[in-house]
Order: sequence, then structure tokens, then C-alpha cells
Amino acid sequence: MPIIVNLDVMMAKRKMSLTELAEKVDITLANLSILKTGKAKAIRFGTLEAICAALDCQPGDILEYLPGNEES
Amino acid sequence: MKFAPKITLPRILQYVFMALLVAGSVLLVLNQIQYFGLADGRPSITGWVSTSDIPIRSVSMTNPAVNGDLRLYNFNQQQFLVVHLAGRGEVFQSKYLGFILFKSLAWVCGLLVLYQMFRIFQNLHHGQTFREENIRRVRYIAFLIPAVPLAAFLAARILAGIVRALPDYQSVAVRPADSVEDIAGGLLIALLIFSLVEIFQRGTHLQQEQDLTI
Repeated sequence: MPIIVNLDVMMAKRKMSLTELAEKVDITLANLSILKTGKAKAIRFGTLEAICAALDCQPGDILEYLPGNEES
Repeated sequence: MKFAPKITLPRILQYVFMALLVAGSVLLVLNQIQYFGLADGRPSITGWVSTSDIPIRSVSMTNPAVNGDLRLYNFNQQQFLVVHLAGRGEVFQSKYLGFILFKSLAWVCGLLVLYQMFRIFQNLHHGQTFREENIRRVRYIAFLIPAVPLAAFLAARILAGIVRALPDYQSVAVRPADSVEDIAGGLLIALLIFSLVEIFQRGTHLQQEQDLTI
């Protein structure tokens, strides 16, 4: 998919662990892991809003459009 | 506090199909014992044939293209026959073996359908409805459904041939009890099931998307 999830980059910048973020966003660790590894097909606005609030960032800091990246 | 198992319709149907599967398997084994005379040393084959002693009436054809007598037969006489074979060695003649093979094939296909239904309802009971496994099983059923009447029809044709050759039936018209219409019916059901598979496939795709929406 040409949409890249840079969640791990933002988490590293904010020095936040996956477990900590999962608790703050109130989603399961498994679902957050799916999002982080780029396996997710879609993201709800509600989840995006909660992640942005927890990491104090913009949606564009987490999601990136990379044309030509079609293999997955 | 005592745990009470939840009784759901899929659970009930799962047990129904399991019971049918067990009963069918037992009957299949009993049939084989009878065919090969494993219990009493007297092999025999059984089945239904349609017979007609004499033409019920003759009428003149009014069709100008073909003049002649039109003979009408009443094939409503369904007879259940037990053909005892002389010995176990006779079972291995091609006509008897062919009958046993096709008859058993019809049973095995029927049992496989029951098994697939049992597994589908087992998955439904566990809340796994739109899954690739279920689609695969429903597709197997679509292939197996027409195979049952086809194999049964071939076995019935062979049995009719066997009966025609019997001394008492030389002057009797014999037809297989199973008809070609059954096969057509099976094919129609298979087509309907394939349509359901397509719907199921779309449902599975939506389910996968739902599962991967965070």
C-alpha cells in the first residue's frame, strides 16, 4: 500500500512504548501492533484522533503517502 | 456456580449432522459387509428397479411423420431386489464390482457432504462465519452434491442391467429406479450453492477489512 504508517518513528520521538500508547489510546496491543507494522487496511478517525492526542502530533506525522509502493 | 453450555441453533445442527454422519458411516459399513458376504458368507446386492411386465396398451400414432404402433409402458412398479450371488468370487465380476463401486461412491460423497456441514456449523457455533475455511467447505459441497445422484444413477443402471439378465426378468422391461432428472436437480443445487459461495466470499472480504480496521 502506498500509505506508510510512521507510528514507530513518532513513538521513538516521544520515547513512548507500545504498551503505554495502547493504554493511553485505549486499544488492544494486538491492534496497535497491526497498525504499527502496516498490516491495517483502514484507521478510524476516532483512533487517529486518540493517537494524535497521545503523541501530541498531527495525522501527517503518522501517515505518509509514498507513490509506487504497491507491493503489500 | 454451575456452567451451563449455551444451546444455539448451529450447535444443534452440528450434533444433527454428526449423528447423520455416524449413522451413514455405520450403514456404509453394513452395506459393504452385505455386498461381500462378510457376515454369513452369502454376498448379495440390493437396490430398487422400475419394472413393467407388459405394455399397458398399444395405440396408433397419429403423427404423420412416423406411422406405427406406439407402445406405452407403465413403469410404476418399483421393486426392491436382493440378488444373492453364488459365491464371494462372483462379487469381483465387473458388473457387480461396478455396482458396488458406484453405490459406495454415492454414499461416500453423501457422507463427505455431511462432514463438511458438520464442520461449517462447528465454525458457526464458534462465531467464525465469514472465513476462508467455510468458503472452501461450501465449495466442496457444491462439487459433491451432484456427484451423489450421478453415482447413484450409474449404480442403478448397472443394477437394472444385472436384473435384465436374470432368467425371471427376460420378458420384463426393467429401468433404473433413479432418474436423470435427479442429476439435473443436483446440478441445479450445485449452481445455487456456487452463487452462495460468491456471496460468502464478498462477506469474507468485508469481514477481513473490518478485522484490519483499527
